[in-house]
Amino acid sequence: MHSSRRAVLAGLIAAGIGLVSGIASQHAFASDWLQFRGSDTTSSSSEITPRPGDDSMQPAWEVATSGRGISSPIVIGDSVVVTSSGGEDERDLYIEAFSALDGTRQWLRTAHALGRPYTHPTSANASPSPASDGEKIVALFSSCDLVCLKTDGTPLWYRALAVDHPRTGNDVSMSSSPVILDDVVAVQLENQGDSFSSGIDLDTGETLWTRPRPRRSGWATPIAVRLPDPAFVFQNSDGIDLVAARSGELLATLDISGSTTSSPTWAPPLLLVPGDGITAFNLREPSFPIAWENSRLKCKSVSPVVHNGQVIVNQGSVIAAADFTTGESTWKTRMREVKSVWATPIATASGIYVVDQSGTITVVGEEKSGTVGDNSATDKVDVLGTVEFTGPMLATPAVSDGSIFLRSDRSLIKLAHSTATESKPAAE
Amino acid sequence: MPLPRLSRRTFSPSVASPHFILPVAFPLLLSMVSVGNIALADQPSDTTNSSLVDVLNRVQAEGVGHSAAMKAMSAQPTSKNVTPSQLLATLKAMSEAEPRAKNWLRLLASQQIEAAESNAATANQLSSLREDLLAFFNDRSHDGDARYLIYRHLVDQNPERRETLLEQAVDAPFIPLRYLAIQREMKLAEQLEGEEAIEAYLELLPLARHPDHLREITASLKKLDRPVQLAKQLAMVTQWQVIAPFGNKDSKGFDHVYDVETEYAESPFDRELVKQSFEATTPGGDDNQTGDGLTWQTISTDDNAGLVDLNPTYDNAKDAVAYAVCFFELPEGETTDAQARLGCINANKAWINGQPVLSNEVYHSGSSIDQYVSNCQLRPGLNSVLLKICQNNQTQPWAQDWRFQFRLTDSTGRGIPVTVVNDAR
Repeated sequence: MHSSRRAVLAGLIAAGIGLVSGIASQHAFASDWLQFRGSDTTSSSSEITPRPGDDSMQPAWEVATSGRGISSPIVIGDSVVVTSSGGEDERDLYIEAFSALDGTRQWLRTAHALGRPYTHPTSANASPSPASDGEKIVALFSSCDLVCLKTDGTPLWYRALAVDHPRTGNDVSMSSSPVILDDVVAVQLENQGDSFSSGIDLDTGETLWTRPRPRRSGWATPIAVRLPDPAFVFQNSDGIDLVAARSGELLATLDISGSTTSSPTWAPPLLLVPGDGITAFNLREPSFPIAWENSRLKCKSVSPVVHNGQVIVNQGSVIAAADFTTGESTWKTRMREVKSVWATPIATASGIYVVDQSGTITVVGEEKSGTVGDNSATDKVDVLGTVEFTGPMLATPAVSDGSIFLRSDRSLIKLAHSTATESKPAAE
Repeated sequence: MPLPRLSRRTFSPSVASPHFILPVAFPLLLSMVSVGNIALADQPSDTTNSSLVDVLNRVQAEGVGHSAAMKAMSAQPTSKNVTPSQLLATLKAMSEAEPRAKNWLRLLASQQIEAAESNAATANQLSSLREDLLAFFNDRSHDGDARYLIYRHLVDQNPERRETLLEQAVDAPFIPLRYLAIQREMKLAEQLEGEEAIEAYLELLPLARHPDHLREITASLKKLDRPVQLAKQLAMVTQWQVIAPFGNKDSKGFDHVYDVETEYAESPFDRELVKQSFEATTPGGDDNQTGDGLTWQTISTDDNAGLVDLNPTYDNAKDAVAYAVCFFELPEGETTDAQARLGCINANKAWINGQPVLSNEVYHSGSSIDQYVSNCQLRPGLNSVLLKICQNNQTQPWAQDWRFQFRLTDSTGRGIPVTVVNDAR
């Protein structure tokens, strides 16, 4: 397959995709991981991260979160921010920041759910992942409570979206995460009641626009794109809506049945839409033509990853890849330890990390076969190893500065190259 | 089409409206003074931050009022200038806050509480602050949400405090706190055996409010050979008169007003309703189709949690609407300020004494006891409830349930044990 050197090079190129996309805020640092699936939604990082067999797969630190959650952590500078929920019916809402260095809690903010807090037992009220522009944080909960803070934890505004829209809610969970682009927060609250998307002014918390959405349950997270004008992409089984970020004007509709669970991925110029396989639209050409389709790239519940010039999808115990430019399938690997996956994998220069719901991490990567020094030796994508943590673990990890931040049901874990390890007791 | 963009108001001191200046000026002035002299700025501990609350209570849907609210919030002390009295003033202000405003105050108080702790220069000052917070917590006259925030903070700082703070809270009027206290007592009861365990669980039974707790307590008692019926503890209504199936093609039956609804709304206390038959007119594509005359049937449930399953009686009907009515007497001396609590995985509506109280057009998307809650008004003597339970035509195995569970409670979730007076046909 591909050599490791080529992989690292391609990883750097892939990282360049994020820069080209221009989504990252002026306030963000290169090592920040500002939202669900990373600052550019590709779930990709060019950094070298701990691998199985290293001591570094032992937690550098593990801290208890104030409540339960399946939301992803985000990394802003030296802070890791995570949401959780607890108490009666999980109506207690927590947003807290930990030092990325040593896991010390920097601040904790609390609120109370004013919308429906009920979810399936495997989910949690803290189901959507927070998002940041590097200066402000927005945290959404399944109960449709939306909080905006400065990165130092200073409260800025609060919205009770389920009070504004009393019929909005889904007792399985509302898991779509907010996204930020050019000081507009987009939310996609699809359900059988009052189903809508909204653009909310990041500075003031005021609604800029609201658009009705199909009255069906949906969990896909919107994404931010530049066409080059700023826009949000909303996906569900009826199609794809491209909406101007600040005005809410409908710019285009792509006629395709997208997934209601997996989210689209933006790797300019392609928008990857998971549905019956993956369909890639070229958003940098007029009328947004289909670049390629591959019906074998079924995503199940997770979202497409773009890394090293490849599209990678996780299909339960199978992980498969295709060429990013052509969509042609390239390799497929079975992972014995993987049973049930809700987290989108992350890909780094060290491998692809697949998080099983049980808490087992399987790392897939390129492995040399043949004798060292033998010119005929080939690279094969295979399982490099597994590491077990205490689950359940449904959150997509974050990557920053060579470290991986895992989020289990009740704790936050840092995997780092540092030899110093510190373990803090998990929550009761 | 997008909805019209709302007018945006941004912070600008020069254009602040007159009604805005006054509420904001006072805390702003205080915070300015506090920079120079903390002692002078420290408000008396019995003051509340009512001016801030006034502004926050004016926040409305879609972010209306945010400009003033954010300005008022930014004027609050949040770091080096937070004193214990200012923190207590914020906590006291929660008693005057509307639910939405309360969350603004929670966020502020959770920042101020950290700042006040960090500002304590000596161990004595820190100890004094925590004593103040403990005193606030122990005073049940204070706002429950504010007390709960303090509880969370004190336990966060010292998990061992949890025992002492919760041991007196099993009857707390603030239910989220009682929830934690009951949870603690249940864990203690797990350590007991025989009669001691039975006694402990029986003591908890009338105090517990959350259905999960009542379920666990009754299950534990059953294991101890002292069975107590969960449905009775929850005060589930287990006897109904049901009429079905009315049409629900394309889910249009949900909004279609069948004659049952009309008749009930006109005479909600007329028990003769269940002696009438009704035509199963199908809405949607077959508007003019007239089905057979439907009659009421008595359905009782002995399900442990009071679940009423409609499928056995109506042969797993699809695209169907069922009406369930119950006439009942309110126990003498019982509160008339009640809550209707419905658990239902199907689209549903509910009326109490002829008044609509619930309407949820959601199919097969999770269900639990007390899933839908609405305040309602009962009256001494005879009352009635009408439920409309709609089934669609989904074919997935997980979308076949057609059932409900209903009870009436007081505002704390205590079940009201009504006496059913249905006339069986």
